[in-house]
Amino acid sequence: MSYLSKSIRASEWLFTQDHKRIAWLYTVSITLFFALGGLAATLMRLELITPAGDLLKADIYNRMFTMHGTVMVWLFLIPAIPNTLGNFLLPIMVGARDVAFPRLNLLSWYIFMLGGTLVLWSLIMGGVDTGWTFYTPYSSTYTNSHVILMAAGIFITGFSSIFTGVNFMVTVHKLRAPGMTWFRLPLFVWSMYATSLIMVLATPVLACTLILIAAERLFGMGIFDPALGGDPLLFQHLFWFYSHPAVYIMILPGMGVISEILPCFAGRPMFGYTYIACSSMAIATLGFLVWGHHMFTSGQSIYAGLVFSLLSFLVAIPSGIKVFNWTSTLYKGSIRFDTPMLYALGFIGLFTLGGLTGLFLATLAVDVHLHDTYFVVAHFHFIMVGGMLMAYLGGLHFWWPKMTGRLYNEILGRVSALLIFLGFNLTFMPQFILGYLGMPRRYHSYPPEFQVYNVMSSAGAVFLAAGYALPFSYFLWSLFYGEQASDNPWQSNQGLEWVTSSPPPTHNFEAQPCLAEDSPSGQSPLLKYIRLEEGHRHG
Amino acid sequence: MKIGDLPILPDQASAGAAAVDTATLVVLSVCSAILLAVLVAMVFLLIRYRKNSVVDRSNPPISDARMELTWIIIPTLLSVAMFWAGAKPFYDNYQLPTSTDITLEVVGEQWLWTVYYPNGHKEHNTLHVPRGQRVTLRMISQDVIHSFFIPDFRVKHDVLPGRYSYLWFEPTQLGDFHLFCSEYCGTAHSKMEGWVHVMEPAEYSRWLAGQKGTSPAERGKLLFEQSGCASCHRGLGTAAPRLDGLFGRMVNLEDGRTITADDDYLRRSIVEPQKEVVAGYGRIMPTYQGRLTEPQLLDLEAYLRSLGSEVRR
Repeated sequence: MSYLSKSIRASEWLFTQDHKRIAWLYTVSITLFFALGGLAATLMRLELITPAGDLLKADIYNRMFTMHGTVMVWLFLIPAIPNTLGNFLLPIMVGARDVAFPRLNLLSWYIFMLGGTLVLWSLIMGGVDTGWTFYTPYSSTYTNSHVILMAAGIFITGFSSIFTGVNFMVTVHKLRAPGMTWFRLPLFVWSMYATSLIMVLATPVLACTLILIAAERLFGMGIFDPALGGDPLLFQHLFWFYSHPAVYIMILPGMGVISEILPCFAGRPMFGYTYIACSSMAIATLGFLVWGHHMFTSGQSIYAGLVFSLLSFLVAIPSGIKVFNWTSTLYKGSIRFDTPMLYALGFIGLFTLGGLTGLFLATLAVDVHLHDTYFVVAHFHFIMVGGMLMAYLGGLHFWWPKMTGRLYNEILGRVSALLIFLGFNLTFMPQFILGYLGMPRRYHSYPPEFQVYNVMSSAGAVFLAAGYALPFSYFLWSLFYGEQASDNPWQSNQGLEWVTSSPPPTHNFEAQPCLAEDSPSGQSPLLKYIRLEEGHRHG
Repeated sequence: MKIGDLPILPDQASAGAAAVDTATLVVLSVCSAILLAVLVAMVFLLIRYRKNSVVDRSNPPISDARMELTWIIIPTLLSVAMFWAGAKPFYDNYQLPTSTDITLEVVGEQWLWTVYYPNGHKEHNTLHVPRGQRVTLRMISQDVIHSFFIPDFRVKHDVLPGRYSYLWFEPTQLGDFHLFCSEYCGTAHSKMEGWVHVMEPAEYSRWLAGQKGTSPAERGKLLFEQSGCASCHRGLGTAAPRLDGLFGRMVNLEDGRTITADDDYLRRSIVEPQKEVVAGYGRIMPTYQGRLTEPQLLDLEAYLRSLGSEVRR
C-alpha cells in the first residue's frame, strides 16, 4: 500500500512521521510563501513601469521589496529543494526507510511554520522596510517598522534549517543501504550533504546576529549604532558570514537535481562523478571565506578587499567544474527532451550566465561601480530564479510521477519550461544594462533615462508569472485526473528511487535494497546492481 | 554611449572611468568566451546525440583526469588574470591620492546630501567641481549608512555614521552628471539624488567667489568658545591638553599607544573623549555625542586644523 493511500485523515498528515508526507507539508507551505513573495514582486514591477513613484507610496514600495526578499529567501529558497525533494528522496536514495530522526523532521516543519507565521504576522502588522539585509543602524535604531517580529520569525525558521541539516547528515552517515559506499551515493545526496553542512554551521551566526539587532532595538545596547558606541560594519560582517554561504544553501541543491536529471535523459552515467561530488564539498568550504566581497565599497580595508576578491574568483572554479562535466555528459549520450530535461538545460544556460556575471562583481574596480545597482539584482536572480527555481521545477517534473504516482501533461510541461526560460531572460537581462548605466537598487522612483529597460523587465515578468501559473494548474489536475505512472517512467538506469513503486510504500521499499559487491565506485548506483533482499528487511 | 535612443554605457567623465571599463571589458571577454564555448558545445552535443540520430555511442567515457585538470587549471589562470585586471585600478584609484586640489565635505542624512565648500558655502544634492582637478570628498553620515555614487565617474563609497569615508575623482568632461545614494537608507532613499556640475576651472573660481559664507574655521572658532571647549583647552588651565599644533601630530595616550591626530581622531576625541585619553590628563571631558551635529564637528575640526602651525605658547 502506498504512503499516499494509507490514510487521508488530516491528523495522519499533520502528525505524520513519514518523510514523504512531511515533504508534502513543506511543498504546500512553500508554494503559498512563493505566491506571497511573487505578489510583492508583481507590485514592484508594476510600480517600476513609470519613472515616477506613482502607484505605491515610497513606504509601501520599501515594504514590498523587503517582503519579497525575506519571504523568498527564508521561506521559499532555503527550504525549497532540501525540505521538499530532499526530504522525499534522500532516504529513498540511500536505501533507508526514513530519515534518522523522523520526529525531529516533523518538528522541523512545525518550527518552520511557527517562524513563517511570525513573519506573516509582522507583514500584517504593517511590514518591515529595511530590505532583507537588515543593514544597521537603520534596522537597529532608525526604522519604525516591525523588525523584531520579523527577525524573531527568521530566527525560528533557522532552527528548522539546522534540524533538517543534522537529520540529513546523520541519515547519510548511518542509514546507507548495504553496499552503498560514499562514492556510490547519488550526486543529489552529495549536494544535500554539502548543503546540510552549511545549514548547521552558518545558521547559528544568523541567529546571533538577529538577537544582537533585537538587543540594540529593545535595550539600546551599543553594538551596531556608532551613536551608542557600536560599529555598523560589524553587522555586515556577521550578516554576510551567514548570508553568503546561504547562497550556496540555495544553489547547491539545485545543482544536485540537475546532476540527477541530466544522466537520465542523456541515457548514460554522469561524466566526472567524483569531481562533481567533491566540487559540492569545495563550494561548501570555500563559500565560508568570501563574505567580504559584499563590502568592497563599505570602508573595509583595501587589503581585505584584495583577499576577498581573489577568494571569490576561486569559489567559481568548483561551479565551473560542474558546468563542464554536465556538458560533457551529453557526449555519446542518447538524448531525450522531456520536460525535466528542458528545465535542466535551461538551468545550465542561466546558471552559467548567472555565475559568470558574478565574476564582474568579484572584480574589485568593476564592483565599485556595480555594487548596489540593478546589475547585482540581475546577477543573483539569475542564480536564484534562473538557477535554483528552474532546478526546483525541473526536479518536481522529474520526480512528480514517483511522488504522486501520476503523470502530467507533457506538452504543457514543455511549454511551461520554454515560457519560464524566455520570460526570465526578458525580465532580468535588461537589468544588467540598467545596472551598468548606474540605476541603484531599491529605488521607488528613478530618472526617466532608465525607463525603457524597466518596461522590458516588467513585460518579461508577465510571461514569467504565466509560466509559473501553468505548472501549478496542470500539477493540480494531474493529482486527480493524471494517468497512472509506472515505477520507472523515464526509463532511468540509475537511482534507488526507480526500483520502488510509484508512489512508494510507507517504508519506501518492499524489502531492503542492497548494492552488489561489483557495483562500480565513482558512479551513482546503476539499476542492474540493485537488489531487494528479503533477508535484510528491517523492522 | 547610446545605440539610437537606447543608452547602453554611462559616460566616461572622470580620469579613472576608462580603467574601470577596461577591467569590465577584460572580464566580459573572458566570460563571453566561456559562455559561448559552453553553449556551442551543448547545442552541438544535443543535436549530434539526440535520441534517434545514428552516431557512434560506443564506450562513453565516465571520467578523464586530463580534461578535469584542464578545466580546473585554465579557469584558475583566467581567474587570476581577471582578479589582477580589477585589483590594479582598484588599488590605484580608490586609495586617497597623495595630493588633492580641492577637498569638499559631504554630510549625508535622511534624505539629503549637503556639500560644504572651503569658503563656507554649502549646497544640497548638488556638487560644483572644476574640470581636470583632483577633488577629494570627506564624507560622513548624520544617521544611517548612505552611499555616494556617481555612475559617470565610476566612483562609489559608502558614507558611514561615526567615521569619515573618502572618495576622490578627477572630472574630465564638462556637463551635469547624476549622483545617487546607492545604499538603502529608508523612506525617501530614491529621492536622495542630485547632480554634479563640472565647470571650467576659471568659471568654477568665479562661481565659488560669488558664493558667500563664513569659513568653516571661523564657524569652528565660534563653536569652540560657545560649547565650552575654550574654558579648559585654552588659557592657563592645565586640566586639558592645549590644541594648537595638534593636527597631524603623534599623540601619546594614557594606555601607552601612540596615535596620529587626524580628522577621525579629532572627531572621536570630541564625541567619545573617554576612549583615547592623552597621557598625563584625567578623564574629565564630557561627551559631545548628540550635542554637536556632524557639520558642527567638521567646523570644529577645521578650526583645530587652522591652529596647526601656531607656536605653542
